[in-house]
Amino acid sequence: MSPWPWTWDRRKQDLSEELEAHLRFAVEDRIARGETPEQARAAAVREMGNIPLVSDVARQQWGWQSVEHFCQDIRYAIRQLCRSPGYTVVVILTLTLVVGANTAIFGLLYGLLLRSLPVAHPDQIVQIKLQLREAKAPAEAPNDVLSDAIYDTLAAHQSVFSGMCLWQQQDLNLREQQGTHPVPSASVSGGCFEMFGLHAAVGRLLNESDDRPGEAPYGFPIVLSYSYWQTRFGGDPGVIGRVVEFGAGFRAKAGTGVVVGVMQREFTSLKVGTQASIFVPSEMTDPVNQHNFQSLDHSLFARLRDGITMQQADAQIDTMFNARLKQEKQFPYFIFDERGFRPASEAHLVVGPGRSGYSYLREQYAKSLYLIEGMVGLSLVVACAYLAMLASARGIFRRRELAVRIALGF
Amino acid sequence: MLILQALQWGPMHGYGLAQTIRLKSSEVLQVETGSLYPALHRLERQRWVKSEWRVTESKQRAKFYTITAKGKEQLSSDHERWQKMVQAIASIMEPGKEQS
Repeated sequence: MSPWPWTWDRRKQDLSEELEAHLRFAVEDRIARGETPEQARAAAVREMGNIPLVSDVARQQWGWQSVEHFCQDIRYAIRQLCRSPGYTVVVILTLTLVVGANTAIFGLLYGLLLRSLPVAHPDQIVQIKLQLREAKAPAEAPNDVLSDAIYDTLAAHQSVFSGMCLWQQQDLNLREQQGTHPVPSASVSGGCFEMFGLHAAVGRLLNESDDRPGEAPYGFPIVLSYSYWQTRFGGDPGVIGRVVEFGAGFRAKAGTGVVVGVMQREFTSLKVGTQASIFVPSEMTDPVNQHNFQSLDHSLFARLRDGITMQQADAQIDTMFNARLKQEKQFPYFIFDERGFRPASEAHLVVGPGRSGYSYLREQYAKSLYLIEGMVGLSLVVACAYLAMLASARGIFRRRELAVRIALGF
Repeated sequence: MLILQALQWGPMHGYGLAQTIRLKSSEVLQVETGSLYPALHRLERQRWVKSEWRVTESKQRAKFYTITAKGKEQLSSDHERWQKMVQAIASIMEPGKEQS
């Protein structure tokens, strides 16, 4: 017994036909017993009682009365709205504008600031940033990018993270029949994907043993992103084992890669709003193993061990880092801004939440976005107050009708 | 229970059921339409009867109800309960009489 409107009407029709048939039989019987047609009809109708009531009670047996009443209320509401088009237009316009603005701004806010990476336990993921400071000046904002030597330093001795991920996003030159063209890629340290708890859609992902210096005889193992696999290779599962040629690039020399797997669909990149089409091991883009402190070209993420807080992690790695820096002949860091190139005197590692990846747009736009979000949120409140006022103004015009209805009991 | 029993004697439409019950009880039980049709629809919802539209001898369309297998089971269990009820009441009203 379903409440769908078309069967509902048919069944109501059915019921009235059934009751009508009953009436006809009753009348025929009475006529057969000798009454006149008018008498028969009158007597039969009286005997049947209140036909609409019978129909209602029978319909109640079907259940779904509440749904029927609800639909009736909706139709009544629509009729009332059609009767005062001015009011309806104002309400619809106001709601459209306000809801539209809120949706758009919140969409931006969510995409840039709030959306977390599609990984396991995103709250445990932290990002390690580099904060530089000039003598006697306030600290600069922490930098998303730092040096790969920092990763080496920490990887050797740290005990606060259950895994670390060094990430560098760049274009790699893919050599194809038509020529060589750049493909957005990311080079990752071996333990990256395992740390994040990502899965392969096809094949396998990179692991620690893939991230060794020197190319294996068949080439470096590489992983494709899901959408790149769909668009460029047609979603063919036979792509595993395919050899891909890379031309020389900014950091890497020419080489070959062998596809060992495809990334799960949801993961595109750690950098918000971007897409890496190919994931390669970090050693592939660092052939001469030039890990140093000066270059600021990698981002570093880690997963906190259970029970370790960000402050504890920060304390340990900062100490380790500064101890290592003292061994350098020269302080490697400079601050570069509108006042020029100046040497920094202090460098610190800052541990912050990394659940939503990183983005260069964040520092620039976070404050403005929050401000605009506050404004449109406020405009939503104002619009609701306005509509409530309109509705109660209409209510005042109907107060006589409402008084009668209350007196009648509905 | 009475409706189910009446339907044991063959499929019938609503009016026929009311007449049958009236006649078989010698005019003692007069089922009103206000109780008959809600009851029939409730029985149908519980799948103890099923209904279909048929044409009578006088070439008129009417909805005929037929008892289902589940309905027959329900009828016999209802009947049993009714017997128990009758015995219980009888043993109070006429305590001297033997029960069979």
